[in-house]
Amino acid sequence: MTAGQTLLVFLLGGPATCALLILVVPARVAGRLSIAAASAMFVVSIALTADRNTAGSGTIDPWHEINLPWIASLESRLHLGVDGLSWPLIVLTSLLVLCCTIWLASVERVHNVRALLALIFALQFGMVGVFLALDTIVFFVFFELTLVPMYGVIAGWGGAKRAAAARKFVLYTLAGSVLLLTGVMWLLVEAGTSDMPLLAERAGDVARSAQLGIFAFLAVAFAVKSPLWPLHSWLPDAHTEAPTVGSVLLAGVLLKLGTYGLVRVGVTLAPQGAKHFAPVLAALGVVAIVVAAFVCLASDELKRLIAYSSVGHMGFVLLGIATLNEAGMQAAQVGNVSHGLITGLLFFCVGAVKSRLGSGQLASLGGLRMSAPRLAAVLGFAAIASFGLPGLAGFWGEAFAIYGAAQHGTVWWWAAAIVAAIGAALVVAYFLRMLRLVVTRQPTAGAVGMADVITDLRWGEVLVVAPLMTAILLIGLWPGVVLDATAGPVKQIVEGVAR
Amino acid sequence: MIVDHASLAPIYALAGALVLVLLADLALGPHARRRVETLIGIGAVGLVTTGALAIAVTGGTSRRGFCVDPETLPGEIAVGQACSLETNRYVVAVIVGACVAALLVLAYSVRHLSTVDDPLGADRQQTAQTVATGARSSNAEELVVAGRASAAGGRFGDVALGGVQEPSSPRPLATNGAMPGATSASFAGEYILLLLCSVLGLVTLASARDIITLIVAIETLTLPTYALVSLGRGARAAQGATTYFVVSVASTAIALLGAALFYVTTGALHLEWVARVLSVDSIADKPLVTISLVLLLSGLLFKLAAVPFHAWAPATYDGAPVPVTAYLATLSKVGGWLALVLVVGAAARQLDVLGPVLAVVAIATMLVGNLVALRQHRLMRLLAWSSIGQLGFALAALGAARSSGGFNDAVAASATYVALYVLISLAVFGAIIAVMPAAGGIDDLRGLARRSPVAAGVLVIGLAGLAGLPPGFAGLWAKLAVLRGVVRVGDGWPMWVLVGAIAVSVVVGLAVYLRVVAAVFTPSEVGDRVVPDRAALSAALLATVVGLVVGVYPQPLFESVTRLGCGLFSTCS
Repeated sequence: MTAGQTLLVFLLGGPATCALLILVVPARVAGRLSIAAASAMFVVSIALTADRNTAGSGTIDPWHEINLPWIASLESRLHLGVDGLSWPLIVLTSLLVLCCTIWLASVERVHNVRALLALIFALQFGMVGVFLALDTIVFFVFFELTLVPMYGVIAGWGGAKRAAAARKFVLYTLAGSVLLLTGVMWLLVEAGTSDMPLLAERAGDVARSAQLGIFAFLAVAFAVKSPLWPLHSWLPDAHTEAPTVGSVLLAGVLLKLGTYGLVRVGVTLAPQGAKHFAPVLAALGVVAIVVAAFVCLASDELKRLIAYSSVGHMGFVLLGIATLNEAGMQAAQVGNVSHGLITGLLFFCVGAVKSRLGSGQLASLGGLRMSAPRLAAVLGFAAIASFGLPGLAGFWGEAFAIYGAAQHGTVWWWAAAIVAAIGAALVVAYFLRMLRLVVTRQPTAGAVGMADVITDLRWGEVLVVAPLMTAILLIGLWPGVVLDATAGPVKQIVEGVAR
Repeated sequence: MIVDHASLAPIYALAGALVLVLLADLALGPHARRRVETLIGIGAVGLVTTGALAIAVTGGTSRRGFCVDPETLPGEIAVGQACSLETNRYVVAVIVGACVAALLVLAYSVRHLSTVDDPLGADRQQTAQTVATGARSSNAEELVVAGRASAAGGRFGDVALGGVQEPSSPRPLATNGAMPGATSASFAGEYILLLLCSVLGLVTLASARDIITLIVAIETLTLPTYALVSLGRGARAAQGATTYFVVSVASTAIALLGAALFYVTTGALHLEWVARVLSVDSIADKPLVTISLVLLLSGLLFKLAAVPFHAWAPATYDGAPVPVTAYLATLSKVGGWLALVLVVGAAARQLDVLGPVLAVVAIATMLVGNLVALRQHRLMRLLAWSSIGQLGFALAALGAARSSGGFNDAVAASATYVALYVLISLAVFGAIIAVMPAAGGIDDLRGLARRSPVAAGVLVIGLAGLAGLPPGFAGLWAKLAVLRGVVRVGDGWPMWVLVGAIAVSVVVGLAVYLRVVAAVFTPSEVGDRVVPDRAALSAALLATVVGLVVGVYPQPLFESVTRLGCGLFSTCS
C-alpha cells in the first residue's frame, strides 16, 4: 500500500471510526476528541497533494487510488481516488467539519452533543466518500449515505418546525436519488461497467439517444441536490430550521455534491447529453440567479436570506458548468469552493447573531456595528465576499462564469451572460440591504440589537471564523490554489465533450 | 411412475416434526412445566433438520421425482418426460431460506405463546413490558381472552380507535383465567403445528413442477394460516380470519378454474409441458389459453395481496397475532411469489400478454400500497399496506420482461428484492414484537428510542432498509436490483412508466416509514424503560446484523440469484 492509499484509507476510515467512537467516550472529552480528529482529517486532506501520480493520460487520472473487487455481478468495484477535481472539495469538507466541531465544542451549547458530533462525522464519511468515488455505484451509495445523518441533524437539533423541514428535505433528496440510481443503472446497462475512468473512455461508444436520456436523469437528480430552480423549494425550509452546523454543512458541502456530481458523473460520462442540454441548464441557472436575488431582496429573515442566496450562487456554478468550456468550468470549480467557504462563514455569523438576539427577523435587528463591532465586521466581510468583490474568493466564480457564457458568442449565451450579470448586481443590492438593516441601521424602538446588551465575538468564534476568512482571502488573491488543481481534469472533460 | 424418496426427505422431515409436535402436545397436557419451550424446541429442531436434509440429500445435484413418461398431447405435440417434483440447488436455497425465516418467526412467537397461563402474573409482566398506551390496549384484549371481561369492557374505546368496532366481550367469565383452551399458551401446540404445516406447503411449493402440485402446495401453505389468524384475540381476529378465508378460497377457485381451462385446451399441466405446448403457435394463439393463464395468475396474485386482489390483507394483518402477521407478510408472500414466478416462467412465451398484466398490477400495487399506507394510524395496518407496496416492486421487475431470457434476469432482480425484503421485514416485525406484543397504533411506539434503544435501533435500521436508505444498505441493494432489472429487461415507454412508478413509490414509501421513525424519536410522557422480549429481540438483532453484512458485501447474494430463474425452470445451459 502506497502512502497515498494510506491517506485515502485514513480519510474515509477516520470519520467512520470517530462517528462510532464519539458515542462511547465521556461527554466532556467528546468535544476535544472531535476537534483533534477533525484537525487530523484536515491535515490528511492537505497531504493528499504530496507524492501524487501525474503520469496518467486518461480522462480521469487519480492522484492516488484504491481499486478493490466488490460486487462483480454489477461490474462494480470499490474504486476510490482523489484527483484535481475532487481534492479542493475534500479540503473544503475537512475544513468545514473542523470549524463545526470547534463551534460545537466551544461556542454553541446543544443537547446531546455527542450524538450531533457523531452524525457530523457520519456526514463527513459520506461526503468525502462521494468525492472519492470513482465508481458510479460507490458514488450512489455514498450519495445516499449523506441523506440520513443530515435528516437526523435537522430533525434532532433544528428549530420549531424541524420535523416538517427535515421530512421535506429527505423526501426531495430521495426523489433525486432514485433518478440518479436510474441514470446510473441505465449507464451500467449501456456501457457494461460502472467504473468511472472506464466509462469516461467509453463515453463515445454509448449511443447518443441513450446519452441524452442518461444525462437528463442525472441532471434532474443533481439539480434537486444543488439545488437548481425550480427544484429548490426544500432548501429554504431545511436551512431555516437546521441548527447552525447543519446549515453550514448543508450549504457548504452537500449542495456541492450536486454540482460535483453533475461534472464528474453527468458531463464526463454522458458528454453528448451534456452538450444537448447545456443551454437548458444555463437558462435554469440564470433564472435561479435572478429569482433568488429577488426573493432575497424581499426576505425578512436573516437565515432564510442566506439560504436563498445559496440558490443564486449555485446558479452561477451551474451556469459555469453549462458553458462546457474551460473558462466556465474552471469558474464553476472555484465557485464551488468559494461558495462553500463564504456561505459557511455567513451561517456561522448568523448563528452567532441569532444566539445572541434570539431572533433572525431583519425588522427586529439593527445596530450590530455598535453593539458587537467585531462580529459586525466579520458579517460584513462575509457579505462582501459573497457578492463577489474582486480580491475575495467569490469574485472568480461569478465573473468567469459570465465570461465563459459570453465566450460562446451566440445570442442565447449572450443573453444568459447579460442576465447573469444583472443578477450579480442584484446580489450586491440584497447583501447591502442586509448589511444596512443588521449592521449600520440605528437600533429602532422595539429592536433587540441594543448596544452593550450583547457580547462581541468570543474566542471560540474567532477560532471558527479565522480559518474561513483566511481561506477566502487566500483564494481571492491566489485562485491558482484551486485552479491549478482543477485545470487538468477540466481540460480533459472539455475535450471529452468536444469529441 | 418413479418416486425418489431421497428428494422428498426435507418434506418428510418437516411432516415428522409436525406429527411430533402434535404428539408432544397431547402427551404433555395443558399444565406441564416448560410445555411451550418444549414444543417450540421440537419445531425448531424440525426446521433445522429440514434445512440440513435439503442440503445433504441433493448435494448440489438435481433430483426429480413423480415423473411421467413421454407422450403425445392433443395437436400432435410430442413431449418428453416430465416430473412433478424437482429438487436442485436453487430449490434447496429457497427451502433453507424458508426454514431460517420460519425459525425467526418461531422465536418471535415465544412470548405470544407463553404469556398467559397465569393471567395475574402475565398482567404484571405485560405492564412492565409493553410500551405506553399499547400496554393498555393489549392488556385489554389480553384480559378479555382470559375471561375477565368486566375489567376490560370499559377500555375498548382505546382499542377501537383504529376504526374497527369491537363488540363487548362475548366470552363467558372464567373462574380465574385458568380456563383450558382459552389462553394462548394452551394453543401453543396447535399454533406450532399450523405454522410448521404452512412452512411444509412452502417447502413443497419450491420443488413443485406441475400446476396441480403447485396449487395443492400453496393451499397447504395458506390453509393453516386461516386458523393461525383466528388464534388472535377478540373480534378483530375473527374478522380478519373470515375475510382472509373467504377471499382466499375464492382466489383458489379462480386459480383452479384457470388450471382446468388450460388443461382442457392443451392437455398439459407439468410446467415443462406447458412451456413446450406454448411454443407451438397454433396453441399459444388460442384465446382460451391466454384467458386460462390470466385466471391462474389472478388466483396467485391474491396470495401476494397484489392490487386489485389486496383488500383482505389489512384486516387480516391487523387481527392476527403479531408473529402470525410477520409470517403472512414474509414467508406466505414468498409462496405466492414463487408460484407466480414458476407459472409465468413456464408460460414465458405468453409474456407479451402476461407481462403488461403484471406491469399494470405492479404499478397499481406499488402506488396504492404505499399511498394508502401513508394514511394508516394502526401499526399493523400501516405495515400491511406498505408490504403490499413492497411486493409491488418485486412484481415490477417481472412485469418489465417480454421474453424468457429477459424473464430470467427479471427473476434474478425480483428474487434479490424478495429475499432482502423478507430479511428486513422480519427484523422490523421482530423489533415491534419485542416491545409491543399486541397490535397497536403508531403512537404506541413513542419514545422508544429512550425506552428501549436496542429495539429502536433495530426498528429504525429496518425501516430505513424498507425505504432503501442507509444504514439499511440491504434495502438499498434491493431497490437497486429492481431498477437495474427493469432498465435491463424492459424497453420503450412501458419501461419508463414502470421506472416512474417505482420512483414515486420509493419516495412515498419513505414518507410512510418516516412517520414511524418520527414516533420512535418523539419524547413520550411515559418514561419507563421497556424490558423487551429477549427471544424476539435477539432474533431481530440477528436478522439486522445479517442485513448489514449483506449490505456491505452483497456480491454473494447477487451471484446466487443470477441463475435462479433458469435454475427454477431447469433451463440453465
